[in-house]
Amino acid sequence: MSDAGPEYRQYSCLFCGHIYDEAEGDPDSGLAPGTRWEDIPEDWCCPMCSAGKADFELI
Amino acid sequence: METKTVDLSSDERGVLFNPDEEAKAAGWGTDDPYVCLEKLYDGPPVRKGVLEDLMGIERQYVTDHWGGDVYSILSYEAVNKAFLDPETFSNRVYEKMSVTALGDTLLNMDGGKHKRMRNVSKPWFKPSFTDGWWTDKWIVDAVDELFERLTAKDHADLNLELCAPLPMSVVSTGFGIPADEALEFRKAITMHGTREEMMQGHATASAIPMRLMTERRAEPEDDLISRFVHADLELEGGTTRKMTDEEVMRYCNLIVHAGGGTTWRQLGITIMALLNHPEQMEALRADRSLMRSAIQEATRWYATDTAFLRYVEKDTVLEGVEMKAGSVAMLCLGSANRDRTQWEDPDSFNIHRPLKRHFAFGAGPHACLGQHLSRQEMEVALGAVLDRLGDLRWDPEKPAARMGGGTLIGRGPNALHVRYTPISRTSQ
Repeated sequence: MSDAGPEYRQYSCLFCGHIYDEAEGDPDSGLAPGTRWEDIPEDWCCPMCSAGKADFELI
Repeated sequence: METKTVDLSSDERGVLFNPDEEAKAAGWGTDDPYVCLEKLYDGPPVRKGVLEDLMGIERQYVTDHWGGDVYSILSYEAVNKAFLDPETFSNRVYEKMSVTALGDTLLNMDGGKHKRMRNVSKPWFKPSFTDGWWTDKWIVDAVDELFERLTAKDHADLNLELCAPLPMSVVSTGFGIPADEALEFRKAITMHGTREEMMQGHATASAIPMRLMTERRAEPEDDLISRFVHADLELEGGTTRKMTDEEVMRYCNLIVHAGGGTTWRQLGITIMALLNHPEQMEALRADRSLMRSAIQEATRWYATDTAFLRYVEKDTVLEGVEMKAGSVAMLCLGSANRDRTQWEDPDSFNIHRPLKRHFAFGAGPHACLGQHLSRQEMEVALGAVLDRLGDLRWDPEKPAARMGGGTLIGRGPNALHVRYTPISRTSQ
């Protein structure tokens, strides 16, 4: 745990392996660095293969 | 109802839709890859050498004029690292292969150029679009039409009467190619035969999309070619322009070629695996929530393509093995998907495994564009197989189904002769 809160987590796409890193966010989709997984809109999709948010798993 | 599917019962298909015949026409060996890979499972995850040589089979991919060293990437972790590091392991390698047949396509592009070109069509292949537009407009009607034919009798070769015509019909008609031209177009882009036949094929593969582009520019329809000719392609500086005829045509060739072939064979593999494991087919029939796992498992257990290639752009070290820039890396999906450290008893087909990522559709920026469409087609087709073909079993009077195709490319069953009790839709 850092002073700023829980450590950033990473989630991997089940279909293409793209990793969503909370520390980096997904700026191309409007998600600023530091955006927590739970704060990502449900209609966000994998920037690589377009799979849905539900198709990611915590790694 | 307008006919949306292709009838493959005549001889017009030539060698198409028989994996062994297609492989022989392409000059590939047809040994079973998994028998040949067994000796490599417990060895190093990365090895210097040509995969075919390590497997003890005739070379299919690599030819002497490539130059540079060749490395075989065998384990799950090593294949994953290579797929997810496109700056080191690029697709430029396909310039030596696919450009001749398909032109400059997504397959051989890299970096920003690849991303911008892929972005044009990405919205049309995302799950929400495949669950909606593709399913409602094309897949369900095509499956219904094929099952009207299947349920008019009590036996069939599901390879030629379901697995092959479904994806070819869906992807062709969805693109905008009329069903009665779909087989002619497929033969043209598959390009087996003499030099004259290949030249003729090239002309046909150009003429059909060119005619459709002209028509759709004047009068758009609800199909992909209309979307393509009106789509904006982002350029390097951030400006946009319309796609050129040549770019749309190459996209068309790639999508119809890949979409019509991979799903055909993978659906056949899945049906074959379920028929050989009747207890799992019954479990799936009783609990359709297993469908996603069943497709994920079938594609892991026997991916239609055994290996993909990458070009080594810079000196690197993978799993302790030094690789020089200019080498070719052969990423073996077959061994990675059966990695003993990742799955228990990986040679077994088991739809009850937990969902886990594998490499049948590749990974990274080049992960198969149409994989969600492919899964959706298989899901609808398998649902109909379970709903409408009662007491489904192998036909004892026909030769047993067996896997064929090139050892590293295009695996799938040559035929799927079955018997069943047809179930009409009204009695469900």
